[in-house]
Amino acid sequence: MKKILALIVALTLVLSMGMAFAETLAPEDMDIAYICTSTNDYWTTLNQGLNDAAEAAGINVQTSLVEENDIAGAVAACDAAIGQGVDGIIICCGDPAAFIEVLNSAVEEGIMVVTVDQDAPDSNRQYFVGTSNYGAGQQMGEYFLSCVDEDEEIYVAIFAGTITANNAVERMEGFEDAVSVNENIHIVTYEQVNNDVQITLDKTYAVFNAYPEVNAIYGVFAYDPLGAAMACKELGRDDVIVLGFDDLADSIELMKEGWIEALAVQQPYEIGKTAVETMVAALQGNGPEEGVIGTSIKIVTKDTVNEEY
Amino acid sequence: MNIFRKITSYRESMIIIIFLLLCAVTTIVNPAFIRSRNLISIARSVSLDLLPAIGVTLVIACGSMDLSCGATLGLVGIVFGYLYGMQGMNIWLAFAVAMVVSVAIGAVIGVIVANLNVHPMIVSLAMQKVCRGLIDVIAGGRSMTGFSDAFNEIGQGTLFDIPYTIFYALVFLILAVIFTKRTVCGRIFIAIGGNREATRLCGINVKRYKVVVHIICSVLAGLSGIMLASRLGSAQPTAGTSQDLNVVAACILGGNSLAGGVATMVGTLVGVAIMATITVALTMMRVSAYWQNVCVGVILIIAVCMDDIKNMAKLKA
Amino acid sequence: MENVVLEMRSVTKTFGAVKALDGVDLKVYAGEIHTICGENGAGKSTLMKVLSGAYPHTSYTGEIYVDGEKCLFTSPRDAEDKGIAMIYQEVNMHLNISVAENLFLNDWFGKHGFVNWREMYAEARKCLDEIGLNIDPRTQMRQLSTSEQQLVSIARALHRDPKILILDEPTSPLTEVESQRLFELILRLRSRGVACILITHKMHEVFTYSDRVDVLRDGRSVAAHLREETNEDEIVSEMVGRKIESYYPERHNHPGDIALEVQHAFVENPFVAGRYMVKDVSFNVRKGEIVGLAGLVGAGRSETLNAIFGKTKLSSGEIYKDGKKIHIRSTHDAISHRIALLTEDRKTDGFVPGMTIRENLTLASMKACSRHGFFDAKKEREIAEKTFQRLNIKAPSIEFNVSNLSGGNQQKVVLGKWLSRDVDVLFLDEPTRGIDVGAKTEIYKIMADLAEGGMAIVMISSEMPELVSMSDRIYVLAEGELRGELTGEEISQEGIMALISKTEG
Repeated sequence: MKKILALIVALTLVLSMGMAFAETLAPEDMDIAYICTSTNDYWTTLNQGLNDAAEAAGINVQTSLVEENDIAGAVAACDAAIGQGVDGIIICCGDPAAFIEVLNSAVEEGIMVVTVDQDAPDSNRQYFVGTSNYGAGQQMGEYFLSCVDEDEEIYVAIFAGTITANNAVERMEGFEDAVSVNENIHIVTYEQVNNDVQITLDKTYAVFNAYPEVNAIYGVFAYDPLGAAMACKELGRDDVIVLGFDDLADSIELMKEGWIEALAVQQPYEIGKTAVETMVAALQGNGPEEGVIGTSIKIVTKDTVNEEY
Repeated sequence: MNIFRKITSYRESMIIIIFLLLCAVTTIVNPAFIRSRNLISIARSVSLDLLPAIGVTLVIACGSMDLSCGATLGLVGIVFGYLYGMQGMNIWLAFAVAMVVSVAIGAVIGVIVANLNVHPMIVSLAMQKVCRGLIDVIAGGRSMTGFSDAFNEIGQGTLFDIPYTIFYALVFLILAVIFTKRTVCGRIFIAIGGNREATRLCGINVKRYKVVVHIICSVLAGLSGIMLASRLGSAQPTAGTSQDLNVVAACILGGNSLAGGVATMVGTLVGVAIMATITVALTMMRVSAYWQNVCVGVILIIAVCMDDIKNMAKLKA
Repeated sequence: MENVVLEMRSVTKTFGAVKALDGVDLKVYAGEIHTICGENGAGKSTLMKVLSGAYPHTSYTGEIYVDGEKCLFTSPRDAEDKGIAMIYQEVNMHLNISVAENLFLNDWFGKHGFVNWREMYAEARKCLDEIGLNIDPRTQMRQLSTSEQQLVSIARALHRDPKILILDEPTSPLTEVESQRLFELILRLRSRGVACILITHKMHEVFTYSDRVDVLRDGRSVAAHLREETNEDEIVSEMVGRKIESYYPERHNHPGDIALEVQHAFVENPFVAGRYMVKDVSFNVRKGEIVGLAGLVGAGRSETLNAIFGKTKLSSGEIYKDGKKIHIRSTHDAISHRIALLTEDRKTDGFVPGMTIRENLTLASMKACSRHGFFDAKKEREIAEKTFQRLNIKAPSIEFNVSNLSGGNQQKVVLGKWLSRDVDVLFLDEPTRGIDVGAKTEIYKIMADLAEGGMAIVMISSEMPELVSMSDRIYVLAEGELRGELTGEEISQEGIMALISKTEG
């Protein structure tokens, strides 16, 4: 009798384990769509991290490359992915509002959605992996405080590649909150610079003309400090403090020459890798508790740049 | 069977067969193609492109051309988004202003095409630039947000899992078919395209009709711009960049002739469907968006060549 | 003496269900003028297209022998290489380039891709002189009249020194004088040994110039005669398959009040300021009357009617309809005054090619068959059917595409477009150009019936016999001026020619 009972218990255990297995997806069967909307250095690194992690986990990631800034195209690509019945979607949301409907639709179909780098916080997406933007902005703000004299009048122009993007907003907020303790620091203007070096450069010239008192520029996306610093160099404005995000090779060069004060370096590789790992874990039922997964930044300054790069 | 005969013709049956073949091949390559969710996705894509396509069909049928429907839809969407979303204007007032802008765009193109000897391609290309420029002026590269949920529902809502936009598109399609087959104005457009001088000699003010057809086209494009804004919950400055040429390609693919004198709405529908299906098929095969552009360009060339061959055959006979 | 330069045996060609040619035989001898007669749809054009290589040998059965050698043509170039040159009925030249360029379209002078323009223009001048066309070879084709374009296409064919020259209704766009010159040319070719195949239905041409006559009917060879062994009545009967009563209808002339009067009309040349194509022309036409406008090509006849109708601009002049002065600024005005114009070239501005007969017939009367902008299908069909029957348009139904009709039936459709509405004054510019015998008679009868019903008709024609027989009065124009008016007994070919050649004095 006991033997039979034991057998039944054992069988039930095995069966239920098998069923649990059957419910969760095996990596080989995972079909993930990744909708990529940018092609610069930052994204190349991110994609590298993503693809390496995918290979390591043994899953199949289908990358759809959409034209730069083509929001409608990205939404359509996402819709197409839903149509194909993928298991998970990894996507960068260039506009916080535009993707809400399509991501919710994906979640409704039982698809796991992980947003990377730029979030659509008002949607039902399960996870977001990206730089903790507010925190990063704060860190940059605090570093900035240490760069300036307390009684110096500072006039700051803030540049953003896409001024309405969520991460831009948070990076600006964090920075502003941090520098607000110094009353002599004034934010003079906010400019959208379209993630384009030439446009940023031209905008910097324009800002100097319109606001001649500006003596600091804070740029929140990769090309923003780069374009600003290039303009300063052309004009010989070494009195202007330029700081911002991302370690593009050209930005590092300019920093070595002294035109950029500090750069917040994101960890795109880590973001890509974490995104995939989170996706795989989530599809197997082991997703992290916290929906927002922040990655950290490192601040590289004029002084430390030669060691690091 | 009779109804089928009535609404299609030989020309249209050919392209329908090609479309069905395309679907069959894609399904064989990737069975996920015929999932209802995927078909709905394609249908939704079609429904957004169909309105400007109808407008361009009429313009081409009338012997003219419009390469600015995408820029128009983008600009009108931005204008509407700016006024209603960002400035908080009353939605109906914002809509009215947006429509006035559409009419203005069409009127400018139409008046220049009708009265001066400038080729419509040049005029509409110039207008395309103007519209894109205006988008930058108004939006400065940002998207326009701030729409109410009720408004967003128009473009995002579904009935039995079928997006509303598909129903709107169907209504417009039916209206378009009726317009071309049963109204005097529709027939006049086609007659002007078929033989402008012969139509003029019948006492018809050809210039006026040319202006009207361009206005209709721009208004349809504008409406679709607003619909897209509703779909995305925001008006995007980059909206419509691919439509300018893709819509023309779809019309020609569907059997409308660049020489004018033909208006097949069913053909246009199939042309748009083929373009959408090819895009999805290529995506399913992991082809990047940039290569997809190459593909669309090649298809456009083939479609125009086929159209040219058809026209030459007509001349010979 | 006589050798067979061309033999076609048992040529059969079908288009879908229609047999356009059914076992047609043709034997043409070198150095002869061989005429082929037949009504429209008889197969003449199809036969000639087969011969000229427009239809590849795979699309028909039967054989072609040139100089005894069997020929398999896959394209017109093949036929050209064998010495066959074809002049089509409808002008198919490139309008945007010059005369010289058209003449030598496939073999421009020059080496390595560079064109020797001087040589080309000189050669072009020689070709044009040979056919007697006095225009600058640099002129753009578009600026020439239809007749002049036709002459250029003939020059082009002759340049290749063909063995066999096929001419499909060559004199239809030409005037008497030009036709005569063309035939002189053809006679010269005949003496050179070139075989000329002529498709025509102008009986006087057949019996003045041809050596042999073949008749086709419904795609079959009905007869092959030596000219001296046959006569006009026999040929016409064979063409039609029944006895032809009379060619021109009997006219009961009861002219009423003056329906339209034009005083001192001037039309300026749109390309050359200060030059006038129509100078001080005045004429009138009464109800129930057929008035003819005679003159050479370029006399200003079409220009006058076009300007009055509003197709082009009337520089100055007064128009009176039913005694009241009216202003016509556009075609819309003219039509609202119940004036209609049948233009010289139906393909350019007569009918809409992609549309059905019904749509073309109602093109000028859409208001009448519609309500609030929507077509009343039944009403439209009624109006179209009525005109369709009245003009005896030969087609399976009114839903047939106009492009597929023969020239004569297309002309009927264009005429029908105007007759579908109320018209008081009808301008007809070359109403029977490019139309076969049977259809011509029908059109003459229609004109007579309309006149009897009170319509005022103004007719332009370059075919003298037609003009003389149908008109009640004739105005003669030359070089844009009115040379004179002929009434009653004065109406004759000689009378017209006399007025044309009259110099100022």
